[in-house]
Amino acid sequence: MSVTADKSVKPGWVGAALPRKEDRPLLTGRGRFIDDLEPVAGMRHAAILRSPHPHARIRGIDTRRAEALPGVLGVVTGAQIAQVAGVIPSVVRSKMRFQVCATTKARYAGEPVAVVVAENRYIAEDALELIEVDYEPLPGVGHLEDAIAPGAPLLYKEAGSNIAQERNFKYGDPDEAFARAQKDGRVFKYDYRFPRSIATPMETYGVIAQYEPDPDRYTVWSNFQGPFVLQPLMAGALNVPGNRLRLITPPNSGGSFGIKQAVYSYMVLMAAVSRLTGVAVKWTEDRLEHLMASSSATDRLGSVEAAFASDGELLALRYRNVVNLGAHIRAPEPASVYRMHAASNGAYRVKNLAIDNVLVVTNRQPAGLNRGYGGPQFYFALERIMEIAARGLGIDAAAIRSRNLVRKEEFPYTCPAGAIYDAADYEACLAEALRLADYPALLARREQARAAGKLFGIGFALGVEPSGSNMAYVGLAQTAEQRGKTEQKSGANASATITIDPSGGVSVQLDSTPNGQGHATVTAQIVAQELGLSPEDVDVMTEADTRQIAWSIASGNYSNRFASAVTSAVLACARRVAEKLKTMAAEDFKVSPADIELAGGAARVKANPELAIGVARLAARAHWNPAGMPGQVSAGMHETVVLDAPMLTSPDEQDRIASAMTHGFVADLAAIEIDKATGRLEIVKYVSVHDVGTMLNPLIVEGQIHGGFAHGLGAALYEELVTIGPATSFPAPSRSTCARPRRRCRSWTSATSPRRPTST
Amino acid sequence: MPQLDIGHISTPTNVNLTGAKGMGDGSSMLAPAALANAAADALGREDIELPLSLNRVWELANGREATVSGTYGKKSGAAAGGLEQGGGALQGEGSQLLSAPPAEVWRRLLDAEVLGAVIPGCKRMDKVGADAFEAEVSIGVAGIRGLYTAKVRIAEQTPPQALRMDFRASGRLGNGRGSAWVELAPEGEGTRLSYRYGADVGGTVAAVGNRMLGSVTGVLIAQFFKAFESYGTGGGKPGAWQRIAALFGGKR
Repeated sequence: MSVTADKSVKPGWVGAALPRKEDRPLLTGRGRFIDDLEPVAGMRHAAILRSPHPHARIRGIDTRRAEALPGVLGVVTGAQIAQVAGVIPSVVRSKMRFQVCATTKARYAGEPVAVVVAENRYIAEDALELIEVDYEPLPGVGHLEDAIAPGAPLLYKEAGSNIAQERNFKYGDPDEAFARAQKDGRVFKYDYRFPRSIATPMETYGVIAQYEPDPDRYTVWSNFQGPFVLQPLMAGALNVPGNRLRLITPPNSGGSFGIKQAVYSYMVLMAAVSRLTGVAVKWTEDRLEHLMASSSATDRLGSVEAAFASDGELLALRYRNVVNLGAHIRAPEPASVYRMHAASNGAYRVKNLAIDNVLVVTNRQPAGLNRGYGGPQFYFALERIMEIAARGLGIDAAAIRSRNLVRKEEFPYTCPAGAIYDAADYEACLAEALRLADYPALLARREQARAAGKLFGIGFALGVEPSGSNMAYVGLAQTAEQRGKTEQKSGANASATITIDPSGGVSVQLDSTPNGQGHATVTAQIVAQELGLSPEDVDVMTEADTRQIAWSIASGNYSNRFASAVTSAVLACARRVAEKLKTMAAEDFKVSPADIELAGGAARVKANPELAIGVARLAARAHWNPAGMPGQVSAGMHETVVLDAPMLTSPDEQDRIASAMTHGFVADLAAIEIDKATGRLEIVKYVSVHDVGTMLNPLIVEGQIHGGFAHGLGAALYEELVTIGPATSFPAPSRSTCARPRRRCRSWTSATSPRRPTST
Repeated sequence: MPQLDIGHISTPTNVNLTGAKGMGDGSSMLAPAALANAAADALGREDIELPLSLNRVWELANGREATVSGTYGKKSGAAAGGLEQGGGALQGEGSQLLSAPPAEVWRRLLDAEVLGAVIPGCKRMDKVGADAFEAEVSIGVAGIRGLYTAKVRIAEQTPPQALRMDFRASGRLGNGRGSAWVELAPEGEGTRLSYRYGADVGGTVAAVGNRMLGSVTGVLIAQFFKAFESYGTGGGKPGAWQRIAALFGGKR
């Protein structure tokens, strides 16, 4: 244990702007990433042959020349893969079956067709060139319009259409509200297109897979981020019980932003390849593979209609979302269109909603989690129509929003489609944004700019930020009747395990897989505070191993799960360990456990700090001398807490669901000026006000906000994954395009409701 | 360089123990809408598409119809937006004055041995049918040199005036398909050869060499015509020339 400045006072570690524990190893090149791991002796290297065609029939594959290359251990084709890795199921009932390697047909450029395993990657890559595939290129569809047009080439002939599913939802009475607005108010309609983008983390996918027979057993190391609901799907595809598919993640990750959810199909692929070739295999995705065939956000063709009363009250919203899933319905898609579903009213009090979701397959790479997951598309529709309505009604864009925001006193607020907004003050956030932007001055500046013939504009976007997903929300892709045929789903477990070893070292194991969110720092802050230690004393294990951690289907790192769910499991677990230490110390000093406090590395009697015993000594006793412990205290010092989220229930008959535990809030304001001659768009002002609840570490909060802004900026100004035409082209924002954030912090706490534990 | 002003209003949640809500998505969800709204306000039009790239903003600012998302230099629609439907993202045209008369140019254009000698990087050229050729050609684009197998079919011909050839090429580094139209007309003692072509190119070579494809094609065409013109005048590579001359001798 290292010595810290002052151990006499219990420090308020939670909420402190502590620099990240993670940074030193990362910045000094001591991080251990998936590509650094060599966990199995005799590991060989795989390279993937990918379809160069967006749509082609595979008439034959000749692997003989590749197999003859010295150093090649084996070449496996899609047909062989299919013998050991089956279909990965989808919540969408359709004939569009997803297999991890193409067999008779390739449906996107970049789809795996065969895999070479060789002594090293160089030989494997060379061998790819020797595989002869007889492709029959087929007409394909890249655009949603083309995919749903009559007579469009079909990706899955057996399905009879490129539309995988259409579902229609109504909440309240939207038809009546629209009729009322037609008569007495105004109806606005906006058709839009939202482009396809991709998150581009620094580190690409990596997988190491080992198969062992008798009985079949797979161990897969990968920079997989979860959700671990995919683990049973992978085990099912590989035809083994879950305990014989062991997943292990490396200590460090080079970023994900959601995209490393989709590495799972390559985990299945490499597991199958290891089995077929009889050796452990390693595959590291290269950058081109990542761009063409990892996982992108869904592009959408959408329309949104809003019914307003003449005074600016929003009466109803009607959405039509046509969603490009890419070539396969790869789980957890179509979750991108259902993540925001229960919160389709946004931050507004509107009661009447109509939502049509049309899921379409095209010859594009499959879609999946990408930062914001469904949020950017959803808020583009909602916040554009709010702005259009403001202009149409002649109401200020801030005022029309303020008019319709859920009020502070209405929390907890149950939304028409089922989301439960827990606690917030939206109007205060908007007011703060207006204050930071100096809105009146900005409006005056716009007038001056326009008078001078310049193009100056102000835009808002407000939205709730769902955190801690209910694992049942994807079930909205089924009808209530279909859902009724299987066991009900709900909830989102989170777990943490704290161990104090015989020498007093504290270790924490999470069921999350960090990729940049500062898990180790924040976890150490929480545990240190509860146990009266310093964060430096707390070692946080950032590797996940399904054989060792208390994982569940919600485990993993997505949808803001760490702050909203995992930190509470850590806190509950730390409290349980603290209680145990206090009970042991209380017996020593013949006082009640409530009379003991943990501070400065010791348990001491509050009234008489002279009476103290070190936490390390208590821990040692729990290991060395269980007989000397109080009767009600269990031996050892190893506690695990699993928290559930009781508010996250199953979807009801009316397709309503509380789809997230908690909802943050964001109020953004942008002011821009456009140079007509060159098309240059300059951001004159960008204000972003966040309600993240308790700030566990303000430094990390602002780091996350800055990162989220960079992704939003990329999607707004630069990014579009275009694969039609001569190239895959993707201009993402870089460090040089993103300024450091200017901090203007103001902390303000409303007393809406006291905190209460969800479970103990 | 956008400046980000961050503000905080903190309302701890009561649904968990720490009071923390998430913030990882944050403005990634909202900045696209906020900036599109600002652009709509600035431009006085609502038909805003993302991303607001320089080209698109210029189009919007100057009263043009903006480029549609998801397309690359062409409009979407069943006719043009489909994949692998030809028409071609790589297009070009030009003409060249050749010294030989049209009948001789025509003969050479359809002679596998001649083509094998004059096509830049051609390793092999076989006539595999009445109007079909197969070739192996080594081409380098943006530092990526690869071997491509090409299949060419003369789809239409009006000797010695016009022909259309359809071609398909594939290799480890990329693939392409397209058509070329060639017209011959007498001009002075020689021939004016006019051509245009359209091709779709995919794979690594297209991904990496995108911006180079047009200029590389131009260079290859220039090399082709230079070799084609000097072919038979002793300007070609001696080895190749002697080999082909011998074959020609045999044919005659």
